[in-house]
Amino acid sequence: MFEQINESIEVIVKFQDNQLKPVKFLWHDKEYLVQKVNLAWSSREGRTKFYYFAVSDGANYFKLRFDSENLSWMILESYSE
Amino acid sequence: MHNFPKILLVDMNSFFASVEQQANPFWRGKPLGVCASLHETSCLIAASKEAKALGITTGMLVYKAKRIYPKIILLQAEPEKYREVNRRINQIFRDYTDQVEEYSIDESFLELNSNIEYRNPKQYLNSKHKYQNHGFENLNFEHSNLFSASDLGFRILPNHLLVAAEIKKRIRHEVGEWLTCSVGIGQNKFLAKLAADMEKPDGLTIIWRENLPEIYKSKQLKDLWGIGRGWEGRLGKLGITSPAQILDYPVQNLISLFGKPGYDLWQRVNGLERDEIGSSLTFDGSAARIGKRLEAALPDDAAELRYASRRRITSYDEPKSFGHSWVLNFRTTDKEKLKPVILRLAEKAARRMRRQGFVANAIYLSVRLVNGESKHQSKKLKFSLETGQELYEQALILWRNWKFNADVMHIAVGFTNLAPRANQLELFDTKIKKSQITNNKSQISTNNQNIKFQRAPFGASNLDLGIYLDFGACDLELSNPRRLTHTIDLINDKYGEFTIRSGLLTKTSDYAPDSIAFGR
Repeated sequence: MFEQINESIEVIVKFQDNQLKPVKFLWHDKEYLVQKVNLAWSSREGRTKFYYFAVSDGANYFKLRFDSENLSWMILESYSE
Repeated sequence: MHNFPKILLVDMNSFFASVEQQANPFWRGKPLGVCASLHETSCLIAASKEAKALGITTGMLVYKAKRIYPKIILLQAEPEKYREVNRRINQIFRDYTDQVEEYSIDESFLELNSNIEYRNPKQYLNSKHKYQNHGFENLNFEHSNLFSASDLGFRILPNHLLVAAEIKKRIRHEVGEWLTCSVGIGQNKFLAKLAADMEKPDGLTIIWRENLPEIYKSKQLKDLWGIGRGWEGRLGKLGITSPAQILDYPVQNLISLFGKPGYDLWQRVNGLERDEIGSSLTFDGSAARIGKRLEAALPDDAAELRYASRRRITSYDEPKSFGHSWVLNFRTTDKEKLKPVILRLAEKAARRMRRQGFVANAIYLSVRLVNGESKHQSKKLKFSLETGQELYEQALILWRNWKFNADVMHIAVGFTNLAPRANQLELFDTKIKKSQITNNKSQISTNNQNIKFQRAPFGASNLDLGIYLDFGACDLELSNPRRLTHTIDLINDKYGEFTIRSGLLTKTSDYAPDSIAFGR
């Protein structure tokens, strides 16, 4: 089921090979371990740069967004079968 | 001297759909379509390989795709996602050559350096194992089109093959494992394109001119790149119905009948064109040429670079128009409700046109209704336009007498009759005193050199700027319309599109969102 969300989340990330990679995140008191970053991209709204991460944990797909202006993370989408 | 193939076309297979499947692994292997809008009468700008296998094609209307496969996954396009993947793929290309022409968001031509020290072809042809050692285990030479013509193998440049195979492999490894491409190699762009089209998805094909009679046996005129319905009709009158007939057709006859275009056609179909690959750095997703934008961005003193850039741009590449269209996410016959849509489309078109350094001397407006009727009108002007508001005002004049007997579903508006912007000085001083501009904008006060602004109240419905500028102590001569436009462009570049906008565009952010060209 595909769901559009748009909620704040807490994320643990690692900086590796000049890249930022989410490792796990907390959403609705549940911890999700990122198994794979399938795709990462960015966009700009004026001077604010957003980084997007399409990640999966084996059973679910999530789209996460990092706001480089206020250093916050959001979960935007989820999908599970 | 041998005329070795050195032009590669890398054509990403089902690009937007594959990127979506790359992002979400649960969509892989399933029929999926990407649309600019999810409305039933919107069209698919990409169909996944699985959808294509069911007969769902790019350009098909959403409701027709659903009729073929009701469970098709339909997604709204995310242009930034595709641009990023395109950027990363093109970074890979530039590891091999600086001659990269981004023909469209999913197709790039590469010209490989002919000074590469070629290895002995036989060494590679006789030893498939060596390819495997190089990591090209996915290449199946025995069944590849590479050797569709006997004995041509000895003329193949293995380095170019290796580069093509390595590019395919690196795209999968470095960008996304679900992303495949068809690579065509030929002596010019036409042959490379023809080669790339021969094996989809995930192909790697080299063709030579000598292969053309064989290849054309299974091709129709309309299958060839650059031959449209017009040519098909004209050639049909001469009894020419297949490309193979053009190979043997006396070129003099074509020249007599069609002039230079006739010769160009004959040259193209015979694989005799000589191309230069135009370098470009980025693709912005618009159909306009990238080279022109680069040229416009060059400083005035870079004359040599400017000339080098211009040489690669043929008249074929010049933009003919700048426009935007949108399938509405609502339906109405009320012109008042449609006005903000026209203005928003006009502003977007004008931004693109200004960025590329053009002005326009004609406009067009086109409206399609839900009952299938459409209205279209264009108009030549005795003066030039460069802003969205000017286009909007002219469009309103055009549709003054239009009446809609059914809901409007699609609007297109744009500039045509383009000319490079000339920095002609104003004959008359059009400056207005500061007080004339600011006297009715009492909301703002400033006493420093910076422009300060305040957002317009919600519900503003006039054409005043959504953000009131106060020039205060500034001496920016913003009363000059061109300077004002330039300054607004700078602010919108920095803070985001439509940060400064017409009041009419308040609460219209979901109208005509960012879109991406899926053709050239």
